[in-house]
Amino acid sequence: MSGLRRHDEDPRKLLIERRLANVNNVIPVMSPKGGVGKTLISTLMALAIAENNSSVGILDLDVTNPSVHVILNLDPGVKPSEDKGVIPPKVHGIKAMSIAYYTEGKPLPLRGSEITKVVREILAITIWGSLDYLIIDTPPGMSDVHLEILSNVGKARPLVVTTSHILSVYSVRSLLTILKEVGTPIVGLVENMSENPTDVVIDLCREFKIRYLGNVPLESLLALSVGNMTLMKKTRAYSRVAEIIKRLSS
Amino acid sequence: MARYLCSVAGGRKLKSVKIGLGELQSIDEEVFRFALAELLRVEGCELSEDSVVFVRKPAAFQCRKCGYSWTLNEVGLNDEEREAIHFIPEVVHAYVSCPACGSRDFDVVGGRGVEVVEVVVE
Repeated sequence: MSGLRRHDEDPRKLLIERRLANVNNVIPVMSPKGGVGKTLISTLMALAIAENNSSVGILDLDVTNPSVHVILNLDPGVKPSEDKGVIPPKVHGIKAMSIAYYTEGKPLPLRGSEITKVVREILAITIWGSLDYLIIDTPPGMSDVHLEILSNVGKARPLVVTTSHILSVYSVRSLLTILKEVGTPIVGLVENMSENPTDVVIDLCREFKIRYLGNVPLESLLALSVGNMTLMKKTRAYSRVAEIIKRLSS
Repeated sequence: MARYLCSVAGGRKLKSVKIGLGELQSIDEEVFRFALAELLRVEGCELSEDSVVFVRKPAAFQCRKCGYSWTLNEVGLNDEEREAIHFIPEVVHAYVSCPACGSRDFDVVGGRGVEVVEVVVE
């Protein structure tokens, strides 16, 4: 059994390419800092894209702490269907995939190598079909999930989220440095929880030569709207993200 | 796997293959047997379905906190849990904890994945 082609290659890697072959834009939403609003921005983006009559999927890869299903208020009884892979259910016009379908809300502590396996497994088994956009929510940090995406999803173009706080900007600088080092194209940066664009974030975009896509205000209505898409679409945050989506697709 | 088996055969006829099936995968042997034979045919490398032998690899765990080792027989899973684990085996950490100390921080030391155990070529 020697001299064999690609036996050492994880077959799931080949499957991942095929599963995403008809997805035009894969956008992982990233920020090393926790609590800057990645999940809400991801979900608002998916909602705005669906509202715009484009096809969209959302993939929650925050595998040890998934929460997109909570924001979207997914019916716990709804599961992906199975046909040579798993087909995510469509909710609010979005194909939504999450490990939460398989954990029944139970805690799921995982070591790094296990997270790598989960990410690879989910990417390999999920059948997205044709999509204009796939939005991937990622956990904080720059670790297994992010490296798996960068290594195995060649068409991934991250969108970076930060607040104007010095700690967030400090962390995001590290992420941007890594993304630039490996030559990953970045679709742009969103400044979250800001009433207006701030110099520190705009300067960061200039420094790394990336697009400043816009600012999203912090508002109490957004927090209250979790699980209620009708209310969520009435928030200023949603309107701002919808503008960002138009900017992205222009 | 079919491509791999064909490359092992290297133009010769496959006589038999032995496949290890991890318990956590909950794979239906007959469906797998049929699919493998079909895929081998597509790859241009035939093998009769009755020449595929399966070896069940039992799931085994070892606690990272206290070191205790156990199998699924000791904890038990219902059908829904087994199906969830079939899709993403690592979700076993959501349904199983160490019988000795209660920790969910354990290694899956056996019973995950599908592997070629033996290939016999004519």
